[in-house]
Amino acid sequence: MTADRRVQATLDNGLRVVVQPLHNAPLVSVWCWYHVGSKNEAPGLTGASHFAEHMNFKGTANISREDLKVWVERAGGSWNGYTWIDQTTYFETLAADELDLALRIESDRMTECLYEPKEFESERTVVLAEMHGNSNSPEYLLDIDVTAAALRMHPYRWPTIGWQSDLEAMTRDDLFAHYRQYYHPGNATLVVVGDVDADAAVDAARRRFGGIPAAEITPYQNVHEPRQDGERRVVLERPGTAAYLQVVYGAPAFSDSDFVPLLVADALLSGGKGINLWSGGFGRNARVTSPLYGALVDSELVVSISSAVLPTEEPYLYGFSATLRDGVEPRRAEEALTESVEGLATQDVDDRALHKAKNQVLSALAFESERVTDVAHQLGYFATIATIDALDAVPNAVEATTATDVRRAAARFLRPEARTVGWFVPRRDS
Amino acid sequence: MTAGFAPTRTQLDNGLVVMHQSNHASSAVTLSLSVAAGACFEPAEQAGLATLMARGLTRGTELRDKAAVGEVLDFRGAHLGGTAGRHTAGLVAKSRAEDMPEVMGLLAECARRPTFPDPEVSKLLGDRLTALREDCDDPAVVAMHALRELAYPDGHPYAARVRGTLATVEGIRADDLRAFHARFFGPSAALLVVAGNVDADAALAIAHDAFDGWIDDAPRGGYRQAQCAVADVAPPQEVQRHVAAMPDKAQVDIALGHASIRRSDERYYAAALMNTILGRFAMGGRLGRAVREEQGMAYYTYSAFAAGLGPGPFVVRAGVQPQHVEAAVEAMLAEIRRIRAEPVTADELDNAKAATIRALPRALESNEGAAGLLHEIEMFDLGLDYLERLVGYVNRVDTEAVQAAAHELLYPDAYALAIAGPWSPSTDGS
Repeated sequence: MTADRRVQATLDNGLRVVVQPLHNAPLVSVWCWYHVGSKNEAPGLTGASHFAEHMNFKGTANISREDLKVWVERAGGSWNGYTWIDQTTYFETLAADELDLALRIESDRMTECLYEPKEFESERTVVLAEMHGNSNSPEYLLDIDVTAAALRMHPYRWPTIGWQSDLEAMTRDDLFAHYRQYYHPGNATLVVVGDVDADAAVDAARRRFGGIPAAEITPYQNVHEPRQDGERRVVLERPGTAAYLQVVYGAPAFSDSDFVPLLVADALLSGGKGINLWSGGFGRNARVTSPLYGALVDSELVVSISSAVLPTEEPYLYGFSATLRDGVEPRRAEEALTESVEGLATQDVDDRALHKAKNQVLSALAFESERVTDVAHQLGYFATIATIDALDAVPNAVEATTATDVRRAAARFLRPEARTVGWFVPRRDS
Repeated sequence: MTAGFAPTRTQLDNGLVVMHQSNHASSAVTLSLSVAAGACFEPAEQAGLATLMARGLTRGTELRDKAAVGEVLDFRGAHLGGTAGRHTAGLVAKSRAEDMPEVMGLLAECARRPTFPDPEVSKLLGDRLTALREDCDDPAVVAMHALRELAYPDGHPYAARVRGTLATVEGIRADDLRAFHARFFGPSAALLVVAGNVDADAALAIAHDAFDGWIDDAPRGGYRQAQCAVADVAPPQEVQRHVAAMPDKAQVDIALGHASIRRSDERYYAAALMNTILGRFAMGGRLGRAVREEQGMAYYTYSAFAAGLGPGPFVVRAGVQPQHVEAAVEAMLAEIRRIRAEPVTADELDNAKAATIRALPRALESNEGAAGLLHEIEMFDLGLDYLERLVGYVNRVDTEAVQAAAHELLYPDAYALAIAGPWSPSTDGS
């Protein structure tokens, strides 16, 4: 890549600005990240962060609902946003000479969104429609139940979209208060990546955001999930045509020294993945030469198995998901899976297997950072949940991971008594 | 706008067309081998055969078994997989640039010398049967299958299910895959695209080495020339409705549409811009504004216009709550009637043109995007200078041409309508 020096600055109002010049294409990607996700919510208001994200596309005091989209697409751009457990973010990727347009939109979005009551009610049905669309998938339903069973205390336990009863009861004022509480410069990171001059981009950001007043940061009420010392199980029996298995274990936060060893452990078990949830998604099917492919797919217990170690701010879950072959008892697939996974802690890991696993992770890290949009996502994501330095350190940490590190991480996290198992059993009588 | 896009095209002695586009900003190379061997070449009673053949290409060759194929890829963190659609079947690979020669060699080996071992084909068939059962449980898939079956006459290649049915797949054997490969999968009907961090000369030399000696017993005359003929479809004469009741699902999927035009139709650019205005621009175009933004009835709604070698479908889609089905269908039809009856505004057309033209750098930023464009250029005989002419094609379309396209190509009083989910005609009182 043709890259200049990366510049980081903090404006007087607390907004962090990160600019990474990349001159590969006449494009720029602008992301504005807010350090608020579903873990900042409380029961009764679950789903507020995601619902607020929807409302923040519905127009501001200065830009209409339509113009928020029309201006970007006229500039050849793409735009979107998402909410997850730690963060909410919005982006525009467009022609580099339209940088100021993206900055204008994002600065307006930070403080000027309207939350018109009529728009709020209309959008409530859209959010419920999104939830119901997701609920058409048996795997989604299983994941919701398994996550809630695996985490008893931590707010990561509820789905980002929220519980339906909360979404139905939430008021416009509840949501607007949430917006006001979390959308301010000190709780945000602005990332600019593309065909720009770094210093000029920081100046442009200062012009658009510098006048927004600082506000007090709401401290996050830290919740420690108690250690799990007994297996938990969920059986979801519903009409369906296929059976699904999900097994999850507690996993370290990204900042934990065992995060990268567990990422390499996952590569050893099912094949290496990267850590870009935007371009790489949540997991990938096991590679042909991986132990899990051999134990489950080659042995004709499952059609596919995927897994993912996800970078999160606080300890979350390391999960495995499989679609069972027709007629296979879930118990058989579960036993094959847990035997392979939990055996890693006591197995010898030969040098070639470790080298192969690392190659896979390093390739994935390279493949997932090719477009300006993907690079910008990573800088903002990790600035929000950890630090950019920690992101930069991942490739070297992968290289430095030893078999001992892998066994230690496996022994710490992949314990039988720390597993939560979910079965989706299809009922075919309806 | 598209500086740096300078593709090359070379035809090897065996008929294989090799196209190349360099991208030195990338660390990777994408390879795509596409052969006129898609589902339209398979007998109706063996629907699913082409896709199974493609998936089977990497399951073992005359030189190595599936695990050895996997080892070449997995050690390097590379990917290689078979894929097929209605017209073509082939292999797609991605690797780090330094690994490209080896991966190209493996791709060629899988293309030329697959053995389709019986046990592996048996697994593929089992996987496919489970996947087809999952399809039956997915309202979005059910709706689209039903729409195609209503919109195209029996036996038309665009009515068929590319992945087959439970009945057709159960009858397929390994010998069928071998025979299909032997008959259709050869260089004289093939296109190889190389995009990424490799120069044209080097790419061509590596491709030449990998595919040297691959000869068709019965040459098929070229990639374009070998494509299957697809019959025209008469305009629909009436409304045909299919309701797939899935009472245990949470959301209803709607698909409304009919057969439309070929890519070679002189109205293509007017029709594409019309579709952008109707159902794409700024999140679902006019449909998105009416169905999602103003009436809050759906999380997603859009229109799609798949002009291909044959008359691909024009389809409007939406996912809605059961009580909104009739209103959503009415809103879709109202927008179709409006775009036929009234000229689009100059602003709407300008926006659609700008979005089409100015998005090109984004489309070409990734190796996969460049490879996709090269495939389109060859498939539809657009010429290596296509992007230079595309701007003219788009800019020549005026509002009259858009309205004429809408009037001639959309049928608000005669169409296929498929509804799948927890809905029956009495659900919302109709």
